[in-house]
Amino acid sequence: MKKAATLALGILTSVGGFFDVGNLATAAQAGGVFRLQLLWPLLLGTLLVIFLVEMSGRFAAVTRQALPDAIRTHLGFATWLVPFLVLSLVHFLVLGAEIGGICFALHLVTGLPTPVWALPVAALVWLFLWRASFSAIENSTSLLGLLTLAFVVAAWQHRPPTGQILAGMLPTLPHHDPARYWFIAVSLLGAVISPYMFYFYSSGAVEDKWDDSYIGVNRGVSVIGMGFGSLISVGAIVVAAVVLAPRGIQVDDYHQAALMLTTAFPFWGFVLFAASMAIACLGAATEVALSMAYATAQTYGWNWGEDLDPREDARFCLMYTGAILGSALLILFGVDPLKLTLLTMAVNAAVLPFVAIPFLLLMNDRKLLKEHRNGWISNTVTLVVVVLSIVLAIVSIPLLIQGGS
Amino acid sequence: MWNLYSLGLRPLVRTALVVAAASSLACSSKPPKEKLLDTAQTASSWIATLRMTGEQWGANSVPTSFVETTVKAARSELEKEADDAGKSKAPPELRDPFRQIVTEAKDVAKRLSQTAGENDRPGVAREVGLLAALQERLKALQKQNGGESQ
Repeated sequence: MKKAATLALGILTSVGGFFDVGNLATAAQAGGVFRLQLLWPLLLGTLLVIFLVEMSGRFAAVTRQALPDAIRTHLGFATWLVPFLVLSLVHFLVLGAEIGGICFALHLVTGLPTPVWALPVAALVWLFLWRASFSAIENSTSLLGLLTLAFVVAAWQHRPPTGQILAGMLPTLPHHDPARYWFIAVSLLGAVISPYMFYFYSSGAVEDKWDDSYIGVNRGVSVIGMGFGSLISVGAIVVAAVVLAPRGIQVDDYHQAALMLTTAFPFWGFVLFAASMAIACLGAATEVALSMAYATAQTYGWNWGEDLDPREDARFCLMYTGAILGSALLILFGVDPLKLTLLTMAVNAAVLPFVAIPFLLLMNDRKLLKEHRNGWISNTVTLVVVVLSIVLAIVSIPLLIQGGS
Repeated sequence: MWNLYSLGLRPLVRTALVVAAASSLACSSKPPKEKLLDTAQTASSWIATLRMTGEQWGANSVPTSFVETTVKAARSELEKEADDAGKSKAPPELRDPFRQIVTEAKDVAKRLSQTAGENDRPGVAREVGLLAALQERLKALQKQNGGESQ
């Protein structure tokens, strides 16, 4: 009974926690410029992230160790150092993008400039992490995140052409602007396969004291939760394709994206957009800040745990405090939140090889995982991720220069 | 003299760096006309944004503060595009009418913000109509010059 409740809650929180600023920005851009043609990177990314998240949860349940901890212990500090530094950079940029998203949502509602909100938002995120327990953070923001289902409802209301949706699920070459097309495709993948997600998930499983008996729950949460979660991103692409593209609006600024829900929900659409953005970004900001603190503490062998008293893991708490403050400074000093988000999503795609390869090595360790180690299907999929991420790493740099400009 | 080999990089990393650098160089050179047509696409998108913002304000779907901040963002972007057009080496038959349209759009945007601030609904509807006309003119200009309006 307890497992069923954990599964149900896990699925709900995965759905509610799936959508963040990266998904919003890339989906709005994809739909606004290429209508339904870029649904395929989202589906591909979802399939890959399901496998990665399932593996990281299975690893934590069997070994009771989070990924950075295990990589350091079993592959050595020197092997983990470069992926750790890369992961820290990504954490920092994603956190800045998420804090920027909350600030922009508050700007929409109040009319005050986005940078004005940077420090108050940083204080709010920090206070939330300082005061709340792990399950309270995970469950509250993710359940509130179900508000983002407004994009699915809006997409449904607009009755998009089914044939075009199905056609968009198959990879096709662009009819115009190829550099932009591939840049957005890379960013969509980067938004879905955020490296922080599977590192955070494994630490969360350790926090929740998962053991072998949670392997089924983990599989259900990864497949159903992530699968349904990606529907929200599909909804956002559809809404942008149906509302913005026919009017000739491409999303180069969040003000343009803010109009997405206004035709499906007259009067409430604008408020729903701002609330969805704020909640999705708040949930992701807390997860990313925690993930950065987890990775650092586990890398250096410090005490860690969101449920510990801050006096027992002072360096862990100091880490997320510094990360939140540093990332908020990006927004305070006027970095454009949308540009930061798009840059971050491309970087996400580029760094995947660094974070996926050590993970793949561990998942095949017979001593560690015994009968739960990767089978050929999981290995093939992870290998596809690694090859795909090497290709993405090579193409995302020039695409960033041309397509993202 | 040093080269990539002397840096001691592994073959895969070296290849990736060379491909990335070559693609970056190849991507960064576009003819002035094409560059200006890209700029026109962005301008067209901002004019469409202003138009939809005005329409949604008229339908009570967005607050006045949103109109004001969107106009501010749009004007700043249109200003940049007018500057880029001024420096562009694109043919004058594209460059000059484009600058004219962008300048007019900036003025209309300013009036849109003012009329929304004064709760003048017929005034907002009038500016929305002007934005629609500017959008059409820009679309026609893009087509004449071989550009694609999405």
